[in-house]
Amino acid sequence: MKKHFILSILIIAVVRIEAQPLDLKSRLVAIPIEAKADSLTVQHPGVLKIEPAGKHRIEITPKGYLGFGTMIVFGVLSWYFHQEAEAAYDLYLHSGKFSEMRHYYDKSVKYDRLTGWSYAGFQVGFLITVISFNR
Amino acid sequence: MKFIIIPIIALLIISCSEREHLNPFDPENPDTHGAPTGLVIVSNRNRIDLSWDPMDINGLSYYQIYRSVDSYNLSLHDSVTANFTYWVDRPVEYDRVYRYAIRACTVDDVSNLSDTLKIIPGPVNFIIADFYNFSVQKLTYDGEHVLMTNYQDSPIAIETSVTQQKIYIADYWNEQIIISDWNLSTINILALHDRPLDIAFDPQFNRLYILVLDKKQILISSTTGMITDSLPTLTSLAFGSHLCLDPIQRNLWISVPERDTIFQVNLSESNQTFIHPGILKPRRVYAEPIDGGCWAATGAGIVNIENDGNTNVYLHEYFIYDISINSENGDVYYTGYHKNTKEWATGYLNRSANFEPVLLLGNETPYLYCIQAVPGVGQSGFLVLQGGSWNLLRFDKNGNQIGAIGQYSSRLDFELD
Repeated sequence: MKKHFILSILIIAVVRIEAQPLDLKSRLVAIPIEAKADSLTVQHPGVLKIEPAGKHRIEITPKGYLGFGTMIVFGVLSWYFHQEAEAAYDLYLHSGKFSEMRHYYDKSVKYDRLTGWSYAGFQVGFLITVISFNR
Repeated sequence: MKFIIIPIIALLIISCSEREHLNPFDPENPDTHGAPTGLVIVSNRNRIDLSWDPMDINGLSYYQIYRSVDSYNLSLHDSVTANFTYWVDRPVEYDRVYRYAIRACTVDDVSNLSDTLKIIPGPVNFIIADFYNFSVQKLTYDGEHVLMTNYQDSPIAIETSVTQQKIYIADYWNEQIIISDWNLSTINILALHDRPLDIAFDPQFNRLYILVLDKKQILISSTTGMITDSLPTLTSLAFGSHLCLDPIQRNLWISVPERDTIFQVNLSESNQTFIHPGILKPRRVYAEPIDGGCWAATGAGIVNIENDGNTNVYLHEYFIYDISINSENGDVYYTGYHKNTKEWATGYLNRSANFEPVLLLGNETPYLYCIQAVPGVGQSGFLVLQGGSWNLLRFDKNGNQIGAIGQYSSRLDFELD
């Protein structure tokens, strides 16, 4: 489990995402425009000049790694606690002994609470990830 | 700041979730309170059947049956293994109050006691044809528990043959007679091609007399489902018309409320018809079980017409909604209201005291529209339909209510099995 988590973090660290510039000029040329003698004269041709966009690189910041890692850790924990809570509740549902019944019920409630906290952690991680893209 | 507030709100929402106490054995379970549920009891003469829902829990060993007779103090009476969810108490005594509750026992603990149910067994059950609720139902002797229900389209009248263990149900809209067994399962259907209003069973000749609306006649049928003959009624009929057979004097009696008339068809004298006019709004007619003749609930008291045409009127100041005869002693049970004071009254005409009226229920129990007496020696119990609540109320022979069940419609026909 831990190995998979570390591996996924490393993969994210290595990968770079590059965006391609928009090729608007070639698209505009493709549209035929017929100039006539009485047509409007372009007074400021510089305005219509289209410059190619520079290469823009999106990088994951250290804050992004932190957020993503938090999401993964708390997501896994949330799932694990939920499974434990469900198992305890299932045992509670069919128990025919009062002391055992109370034990399993309390256990399921405890794990439900832990699931809740873990899910909150997951959400915090998600927010940190979102903030990391905010330039 | 908003990035801190949002997770806190989410956290609070998550913390609010709570597991429900759904283990049926758990005393904190809001539905079961830790006790067995679904307890149903029915009586059929000298046996009482109990059944309940199974408890799906580990280590369930057995169920304990608690019982009391004519008392509220339950005591452990019997136990059954966890494989069974029913138990039969037999033999039981008539007209005694039995109370039951059950408890589930596991290897380690015992559950709470279930709800306590009461039942009074007796020698008869009620069969009720409910026209507007499309059902034929069997009720227990105490009128509080349903033995079985069968749904029919428009059961307007019902008759039974105790010797053949058959029930005849007149189906108004489908223009047929449904012949059922004692468990309300259909055996045969008799097509009429006319709307039946009422039926009368002739045990002497195993015949059915069926009063039909459109052709204004009485169809005569064998109990196997063959129409053998028909008799004209000499009058137009209406939805409120009733029919009865007097097996002693061999007369058929037909009430026609719209014409304020009762017709008498003498079966032993070439079906000669006699007309008895001037009887205000005759409703249900019953055969006089001891001397022969007819009893009728009318808008001006209880009318008794003897075979020779002599008429006696009782409680003439009352609008009588319904009557029923105690077949063992001939007492005439009635329900109606006083036309001047508008006070409701339910009671009976005491045959042994020259049909002296005996009041059982006064105006504190109003709007009683239908009545069925329970056969018995002396003063008898009865079942009545109360308008408004539309419940059937069961009273014992002392006039104490012992059962109630709802809900029914205004047009009922009763029989006993």
